[in-house]
Amino acid sequence: MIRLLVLWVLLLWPAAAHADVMDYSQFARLPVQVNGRVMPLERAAVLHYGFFMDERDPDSYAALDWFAQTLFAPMGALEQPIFTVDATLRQTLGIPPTDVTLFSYADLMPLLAKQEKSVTTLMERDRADLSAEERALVTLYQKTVIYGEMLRTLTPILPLETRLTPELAKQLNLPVDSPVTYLELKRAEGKVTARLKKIVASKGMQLDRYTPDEAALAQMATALTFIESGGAMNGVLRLVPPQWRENGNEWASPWQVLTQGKGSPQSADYLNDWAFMAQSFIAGDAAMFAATSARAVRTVWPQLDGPYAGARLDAEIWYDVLPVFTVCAWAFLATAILALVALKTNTVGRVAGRLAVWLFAFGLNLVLVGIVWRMFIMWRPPIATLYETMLFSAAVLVMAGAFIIRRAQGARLALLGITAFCTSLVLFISGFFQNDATDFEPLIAVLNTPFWLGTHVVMITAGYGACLMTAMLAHLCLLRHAYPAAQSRIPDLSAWLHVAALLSLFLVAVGTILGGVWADQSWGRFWGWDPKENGALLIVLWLVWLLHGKISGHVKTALWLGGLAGMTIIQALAWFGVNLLNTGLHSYGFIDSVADGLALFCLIQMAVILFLVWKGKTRHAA
Amino acid sequence: MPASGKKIFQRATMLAAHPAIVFWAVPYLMLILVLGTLAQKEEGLYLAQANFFHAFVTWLGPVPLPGGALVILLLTVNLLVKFLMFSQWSWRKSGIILSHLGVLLLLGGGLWTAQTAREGFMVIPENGQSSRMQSYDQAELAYVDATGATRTIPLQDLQAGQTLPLQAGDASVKAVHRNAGSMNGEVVALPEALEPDANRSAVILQLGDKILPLVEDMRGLECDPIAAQPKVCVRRKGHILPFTVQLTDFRQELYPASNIVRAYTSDVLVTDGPVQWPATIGMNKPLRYRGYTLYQSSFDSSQDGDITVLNVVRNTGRLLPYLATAVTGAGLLLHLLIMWGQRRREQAL
Repeated sequence: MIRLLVLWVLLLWPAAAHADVMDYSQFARLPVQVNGRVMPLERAAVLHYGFFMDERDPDSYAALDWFAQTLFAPMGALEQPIFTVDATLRQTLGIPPTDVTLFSYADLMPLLAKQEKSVTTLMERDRADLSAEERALVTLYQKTVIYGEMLRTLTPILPLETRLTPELAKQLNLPVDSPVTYLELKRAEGKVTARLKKIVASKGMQLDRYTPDEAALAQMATALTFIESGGAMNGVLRLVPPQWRENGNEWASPWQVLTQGKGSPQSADYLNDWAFMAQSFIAGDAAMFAATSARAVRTVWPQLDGPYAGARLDAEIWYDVLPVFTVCAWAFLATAILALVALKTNTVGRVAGRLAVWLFAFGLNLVLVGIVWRMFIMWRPPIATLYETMLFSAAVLVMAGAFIIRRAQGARLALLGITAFCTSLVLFISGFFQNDATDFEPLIAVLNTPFWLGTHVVMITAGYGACLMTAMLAHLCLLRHAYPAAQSRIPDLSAWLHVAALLSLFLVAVGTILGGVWADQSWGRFWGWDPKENGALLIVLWLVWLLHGKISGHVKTALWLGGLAGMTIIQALAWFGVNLLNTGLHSYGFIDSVADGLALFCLIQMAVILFLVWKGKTRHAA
Repeated sequence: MPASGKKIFQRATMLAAHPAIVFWAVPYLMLILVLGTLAQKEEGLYLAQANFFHAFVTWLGPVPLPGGALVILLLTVNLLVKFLMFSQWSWRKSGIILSHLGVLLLLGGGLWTAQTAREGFMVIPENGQSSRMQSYDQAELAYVDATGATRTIPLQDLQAGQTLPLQAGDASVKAVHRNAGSMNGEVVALPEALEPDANRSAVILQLGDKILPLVEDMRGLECDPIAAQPKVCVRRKGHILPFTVQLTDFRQELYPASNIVRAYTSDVLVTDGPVQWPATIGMNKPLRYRGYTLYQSSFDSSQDGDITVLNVVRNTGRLLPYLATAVTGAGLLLHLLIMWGQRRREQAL
């Protein structure tokens, strides 16, 4: 029923005129509160566009263009194909076989209306109990509901397609030569209602007996009712910052401002700016649109709360434009390749070596910039998601690597290359753990504590980075041990290995104990044998075992090097493996569909390590 | 001590502190850790802990193996003897000694907590109050007897056929279920849940010619047999706290424009004798009073309002892990710095 209402209501607005290319650079900077945080409109557009189209990283301009169309010219947006519908669901909905991959709101609405009863029943059940097709149907339905709300976001201020004669407009104190909005119409509601009553009293409800002006009056009165009921509860896009202290940090949609008393003279000015933007967009006037968007930014930015709020919005836009960590990953991979080429002792090799060093330095700096950038945008410690643990670990790995490269004696290019390769590997793998292209999420309740995020989480993640470093050094030592030829390329890192192992133990052990202290503060127990806790303990015990064994003489060279190289396996199990169990209090980091990759990685690593250990042993035995 | 006794003592301490114990026990402990963690998926956290980590003997099928508790005890003795009898008390080894002391404090604290800590939960509806800490895994039958006294019987001590002298008359126990549910209006036994706190116990009594099914409250709200009709009910075993907690308001704060929870908070009134004061219990912000700590655990909703679920812990050894953190951290850092300095001196030479 609500969808029919949306369709009817949206017919009241004109379609947008064709514009060549709109300048969305200022439009993108407007703030909106979505999913619990204030973000630039550009990000909200990309998130929503990707959500409807099932795309993780859609084009920013296309997203903004669609978003603007949705807000300012909803009638045109009805016809825009953005919904993906899989093959089995198409059958259920009765869509004939077609090559079309995307469907519009107008296409889907009548089909979903037939399924409304079954969807309502499905939504009452636990999602885990639904079949894949049922889940897809419910998801599509929910998407159309959200989209329907988005279409109605600006309906109070969009110019209506009315056919008022100049005389009637004057009588109702409405604009004569310019379009009328719902708000203006609302002000004339009393007069409209009074006149309509007289018309109905004299001519009844037969529209064919009405004059054009009388018909227009009847349409206006009906439109007012439908627009209001269409706008009630509309709160998907919260464009207006809180105006009063009692609203806390809760933003409001234009409808919420109008109906819930959350407005102020400032918000009225701001909504006027949006109205001007709407008019220029509909008229297809790109220059005016850019100017009105810029004005809206100037209006709203002083109302933003929080330190450097405006700058952080811009920082987020730039973060989306420049995929820092992807650039880092490729830079480090290129460094590794150049370091390989640099093994040749000719001019090409020498040039490649210099380039490798420069590119490594570039990557190192960019990784640090990226982490600080994320901290600035979110204004919190750098690690709150699994994805961020990987970024931070990569940063620790490359920094520790740089430190050792500077101080190690002998040939260091191979060490540089291996460090770069391992860092690029971690960064590429991290991409699989992103929820979306940027992965900015508000903190869930149990993690909402800057102190513990800044201590336990930072320490243990730094420990993971140090463990990666240790494992990497151990691999290099194994190579030296197994292949004499490698000794001229790889310096003696055995002393560094010992220090790295100790540093890893320090960071992971203290980080784990700090985690226990946090658990005591949050859950009432220091240690609960939770899978995540057990994973961290496994790393600590592994290091304790090897270090003690080396001191006591039980752990000889092969086991020492192989064991430390095997830190990659232990760490992968502790980092990702425990999440696959999806039990315990740390279940907020759960992931699925990585079990195969994890198993493959562990098998390959074990094979490589065992081979190198065997090779080293046979060489030394000979 | 006679010379032979001294020799035996020396030999025993050398054996107890032998590094081979660490070399063999630690990887075995890692194995127990992995097996126990994997078992949590099928057996649940509680049972896996009991079978692997807290057990002195772990059974892998018919094969008995040393359990986690035994191995940890062995390592603790090993470390303690090593620390007391064989530490090299020099500046060079100070970091190691401090780290070992920190680990001993941690293990000691763990042992102290395991033996003395008490843990339970409180379920309080809005405007309701409670001073009773309920057990996570033990249930009891509470009733008023013919003399008017309130009596309790642990559920594991109840047997079918047993007679209970209720105030309303003698009742016969027909069935005792560790976990029960309802099917077609009748109380039926269910398999025990993986986590003991998810069980809902039930007892079926016969009072005269009436069958009386008594089931624990689904939401964990306490029952008072005095208020029940007849005066008998099934509830979690409890421990009375020296103060009362009244829930004035429960708040679930969402991030605006989202379903993501930002905070859970319980506004309470604490009453201890004539004194009463307001307090707030939230995630990462527990209430500590008279040796008890109350944590925000979860919540529920009913027609009458929200219900808060607080985790209650009494642990006199709570501060030991904090101390252990500081000592272990300082020790490891010191050892790192000493090693670093040593390396620099060697390089300079």
